[in-house]
Amino acid sequence: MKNILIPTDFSIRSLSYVHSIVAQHPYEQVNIILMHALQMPDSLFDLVTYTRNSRHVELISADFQDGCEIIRNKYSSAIHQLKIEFFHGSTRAALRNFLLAQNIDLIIQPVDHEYTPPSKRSYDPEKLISKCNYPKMKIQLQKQRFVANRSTISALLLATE
Amino acid sequence: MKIRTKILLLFAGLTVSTILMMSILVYYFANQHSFEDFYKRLEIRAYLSAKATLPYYESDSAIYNEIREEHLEKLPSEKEYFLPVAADGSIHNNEQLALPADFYSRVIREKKATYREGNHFYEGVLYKSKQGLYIVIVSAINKYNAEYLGWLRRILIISSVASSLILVGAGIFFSRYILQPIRHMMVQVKSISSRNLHLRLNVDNSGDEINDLANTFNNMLDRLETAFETQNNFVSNASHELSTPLTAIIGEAELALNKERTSEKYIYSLQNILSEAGRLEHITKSLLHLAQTGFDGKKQEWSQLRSDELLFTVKHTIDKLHPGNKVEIDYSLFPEEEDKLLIPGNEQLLELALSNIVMNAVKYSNNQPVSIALAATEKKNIIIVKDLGIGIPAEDLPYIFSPFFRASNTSHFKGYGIGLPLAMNIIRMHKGDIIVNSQVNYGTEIRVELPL
Repeated sequence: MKNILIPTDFSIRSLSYVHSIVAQHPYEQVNIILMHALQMPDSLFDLVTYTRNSRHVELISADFQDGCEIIRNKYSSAIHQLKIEFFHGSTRAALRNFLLAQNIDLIIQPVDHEYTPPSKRSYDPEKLISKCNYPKMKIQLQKQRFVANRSTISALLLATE
Repeated sequence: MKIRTKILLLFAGLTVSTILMMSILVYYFANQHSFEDFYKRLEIRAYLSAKATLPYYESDSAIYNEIREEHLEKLPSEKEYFLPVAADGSIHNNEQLALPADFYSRVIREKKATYREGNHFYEGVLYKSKQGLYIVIVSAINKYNAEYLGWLRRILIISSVASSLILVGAGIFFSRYILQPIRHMMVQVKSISSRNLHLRLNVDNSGDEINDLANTFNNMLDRLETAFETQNNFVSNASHELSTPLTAIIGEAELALNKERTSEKYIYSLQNILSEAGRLEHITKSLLHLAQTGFDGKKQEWSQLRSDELLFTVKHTIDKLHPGNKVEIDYSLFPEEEDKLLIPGNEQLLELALSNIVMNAVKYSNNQPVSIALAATEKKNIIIVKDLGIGIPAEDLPYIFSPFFRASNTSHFKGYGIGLPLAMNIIRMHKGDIIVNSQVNYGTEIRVELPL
């Protein structure tokens, strides 16, 4: 069973990569880890009071949650587990530790660098990922004709059109 | 009698009677106690004066008199009587005293007795002296007590009247306060008629009975409005959908009749008329099917139904009403497990709602492709209807669910502004939600969420 990591900015679009992943692993179950990268705080006080608290969980929108559940229901036989993890830190060593801890086998690299940070502390981990020596897979999403709002669930639909 | 008056009377009656009861009891017991107190004082005086007047030793008399003068003040109109009792038990009566014979016999039997005549109090004690048996009677006016009781009576009357007034005032306020939400609700209900059935009562979330009542009213209005709109929807659809085949039939017939023709031409015309009439029948049937409100005189039928089957039925109905439509069902998000697609609901109503939404999508996109997608989360099913039509201007979006509202760019399309409000109502009855995303000239995406 492969553990596959997808960097996410909690947009529905980032969930669309799951379609291609499942298509490319037809005969095995996969674990999908949606990773959201957050910078460590700068001030000492923030660092002391830094916890895995609800402030981070609030970043996950209800639509994203729905989207995860939809994907999980759609590929319930192909996906063993789909979970969201926060990566705290901005160094290569931190990322290496994180990848080791999560036992990652494959990292997805989005080709279109569309990243809209949902909070001030969020950042696009693309640079860090390209430097680490884990197996990677580049995925290009199809161009979308019309999406009224990128955060809606219909963004999931168009990926397979 | 109004409930308000009833509450007022009940409240005031209960509290005022309690207060009156208390006042009366206070007065009664105070009165009783003050008598006892006074009799005790008279008794002490009777013994002292007996000891002073009829002493065992002459020398005692002076001491007793001294005690009396130093320590006992004279009571108002205090009088002493000494009545010798003869050996046979008969009493030498004093002319000034008009006391009942019962009093004397009680004194002899119980050694002391009390008697009261208005404000005059008598205490008699049996005293055995050297000179023989005497009945000593002391009488006085209980002036202090009379004053004290008078004060008490006045205070009690004043305070009970004052508190009664306050309580009645409070009762008026109280009954108004209690019934305020009901009067509020009445005003709101009065303003709802068949013209503005979309209005609802205000509900705050205090969770009391009045709110439950308002919710019940709102539910009833939901059902009424849905039934009402279903009929309106039918009428508007009928006028719209039936006219096209009817015009074709009339035109074909007129064309065939306006001059003599060959039999092939007649057969051709009749065939055209027949196919149009067949379509007409089809349309009528479908419309009638949709017009069945799901109420059908009996209770609404709620059951577990499968949302994918619902989509297929809707697609089927649309195919009948608009042959040549490009409605596609998008399977890309269908869940693998069937039981994720079971939702509670009324099949006919949901079908009506969805087909209204899809028919709108077909109508306002001039028969361009329309996709219906279905997705399931853990708690709800999501149906996404997407078209490439004219879209809805952003400033009109907040109003699209109000009855008879039509967006500003719909003047080229026939319609009455009935379909979407009806759909919204039905979805609301299922505790679901409709979310609309739209971009003018690019298309509209309607997301219907139905809870599992």
